[in-house]
Amino acid sequence: MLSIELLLNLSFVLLMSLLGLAVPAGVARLSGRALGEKDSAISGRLLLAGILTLLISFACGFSLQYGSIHAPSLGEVPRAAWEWAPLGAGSGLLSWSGPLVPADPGRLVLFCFQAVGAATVVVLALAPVCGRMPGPSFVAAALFVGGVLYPLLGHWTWGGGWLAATGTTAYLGHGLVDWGGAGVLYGLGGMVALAGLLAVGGRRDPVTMEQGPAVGAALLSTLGIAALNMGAGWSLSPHLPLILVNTLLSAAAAAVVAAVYMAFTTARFRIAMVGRGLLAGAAASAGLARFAPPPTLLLVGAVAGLLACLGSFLFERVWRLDDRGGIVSSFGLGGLWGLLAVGLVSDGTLGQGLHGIGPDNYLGVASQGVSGIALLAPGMVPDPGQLIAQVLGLLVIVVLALGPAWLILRLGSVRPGGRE
Amino acid sequence: MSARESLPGRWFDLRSVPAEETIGLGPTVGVLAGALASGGPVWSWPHAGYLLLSLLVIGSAWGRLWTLAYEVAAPVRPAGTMGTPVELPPALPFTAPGSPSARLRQALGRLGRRTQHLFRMRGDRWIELGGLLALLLIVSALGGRDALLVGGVGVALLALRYLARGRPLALAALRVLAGVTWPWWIGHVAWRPLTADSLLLSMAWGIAYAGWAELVAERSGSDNFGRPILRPVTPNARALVWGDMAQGAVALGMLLAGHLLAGSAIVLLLLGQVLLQSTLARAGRWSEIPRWTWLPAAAGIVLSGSVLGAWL
Repeated sequence: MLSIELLLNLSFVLLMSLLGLAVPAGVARLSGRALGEKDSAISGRLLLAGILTLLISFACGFSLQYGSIHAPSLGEVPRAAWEWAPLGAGSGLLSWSGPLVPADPGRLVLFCFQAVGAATVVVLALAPVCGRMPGPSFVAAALFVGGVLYPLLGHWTWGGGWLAATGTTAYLGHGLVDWGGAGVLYGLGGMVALAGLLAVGGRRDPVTMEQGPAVGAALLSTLGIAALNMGAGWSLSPHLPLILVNTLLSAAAAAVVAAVYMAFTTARFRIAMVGRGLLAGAAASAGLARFAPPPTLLLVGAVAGLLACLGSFLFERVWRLDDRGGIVSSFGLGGLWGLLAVGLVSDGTLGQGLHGIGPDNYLGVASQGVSGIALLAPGMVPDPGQLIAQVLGLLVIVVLALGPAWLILRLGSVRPGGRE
Repeated sequence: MSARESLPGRWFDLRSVPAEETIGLGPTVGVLAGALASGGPVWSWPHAGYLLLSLLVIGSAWGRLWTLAYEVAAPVRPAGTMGTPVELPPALPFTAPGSPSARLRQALGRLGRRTQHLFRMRGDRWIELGGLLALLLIVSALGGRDALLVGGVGVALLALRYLARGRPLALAALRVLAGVTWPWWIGHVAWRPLTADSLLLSMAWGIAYAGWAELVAERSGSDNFGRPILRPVTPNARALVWGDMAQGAVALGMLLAGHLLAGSAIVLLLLGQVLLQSTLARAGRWSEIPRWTWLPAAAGIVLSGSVLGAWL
């Protein structure tokens, strides 16, 4: 018989997983809108990629990602699992847990949550190149990103892997900290999207600012990001209001900054860039929504909004990449910035004992948690090691995206002008 | 080459600027006379090297410093009058013509140009002033503690020159000290402590120098920046009289001190000057008086210094 607490946790994570589907849905929608008459075709292809991701996650992705851990908050019990951890126990490079079993509802809920994340990454990664690759290559790319790339990074960060363990193995703060997937979901998705644009090619004339995501689709994705942020703890907790407020504040600050910036530079209110700012702020919040107070998230969001504008200019006007949905500049840059911000502005009062680091005392301060190097709460000690861990994680994401992902996409691409 | 022209490829620009037109060798002559008056071994190495250095540096730097002490506070022409285009800062991404960003960029460009111009003009003057002051003090320090002290007095004179802007009488009084007197002192103390007779001689020649300098300023009819002097250009006979009286006092002092030959020579030099002055004044050629009378006076300065230092 399941306890009430366990039932509530299961229901909550399940609900957040379902709401989290708003992220890939919104991305598919805004990518379709950005391409005008190809709206339904593009959205349909991305929907297909999402469905394939669900299947590949069931087949291997979930086992790769969460093979070696269990979630007590969801009622999971320890089970036999294989893990390759050459760097030491709890610092795995690969894991495997075998098939899902109906008698373990906690595992099933966790699968749902993982699959939504995988679908998010795949849709983000393939949205800019959707319709510009042959069908088989597109399917292969979706399977690779959803079944291998994302689960690997997810395992290293959330599944007891080596990046999360750098706090114990290399004394780098609490190890890589990425609460809601700023780097693992949005950073990786955005960077693979960049790799895809570079691999597929198809330069074009500078996009007009009238094109871009519809704000409705951006809002939908933002709400999905908020749901994934709240569900990332796999349980109901008193921190949920903080996470939600932080996510919304960051998104709002980013949208306002983007709007003001565009009004300042173009003398017009550019709704497309407001949507990109909104998404960038929400993506950035995913990194530290659990580890910093709301005013800090306003700052993080403001920077993300600016990055969205500058990134759009760089990728579309300077490099002339065909990223009409703004995936790279909003999700990619916003997510990576959020990942980095954990090591910069986490205030130290939250996240005590994360990854087994300093549950009672950290850096000589009782109850100090995840800490950056600035905007710390009174009495907290700066932790440069955390920043190094975050930078390491950022580099790993970029290398994964521009290395193996670019190679797969390059091999499967038809260039240039492969759009249907 | 104009002082305002750029000097491509040069990092250092040393300019020799006379203190005043025609009689600009006053500081140089003063240093030489002072050194001779000290009676020190100025012709033996390394003293001769120091004397040469003093003549070159103080003779040239002091005149420029005297001018800079006034120029440094002068107004700078506003931007836009130089005929150079306004350089714009890099534009923010997406900046479109007519946007607030574009307008701000234009404004920043104008402000930057104006600030740059202001800084450059003022900066050039201050850098030049600081560099020359440092050079002056270094050369003074090489002459010993007393010379460094006198170098500090020179800096104080420059400060007074700055403070006396717009006060003709104060400037005239300062010319007494700055033209020959102070260079005499620094030339003297580099070898021997200043004596009372040397001090009196330097003051007397300083008064004479101030008279010539007054005539030069009136003749040019403009200040250091080429701006016209508003008061009418009238010959200042009083300045000449003061100069002649000072030279007469020097000659008298020499004669009373038993230096009959030197005293007589100075009297003759003075008489020659007076004759020239009266001739030129009657012909209305007041402006030529300093040019013709300065050379015999300079000879008198060097002669008196040589006598005081027992060289003659």
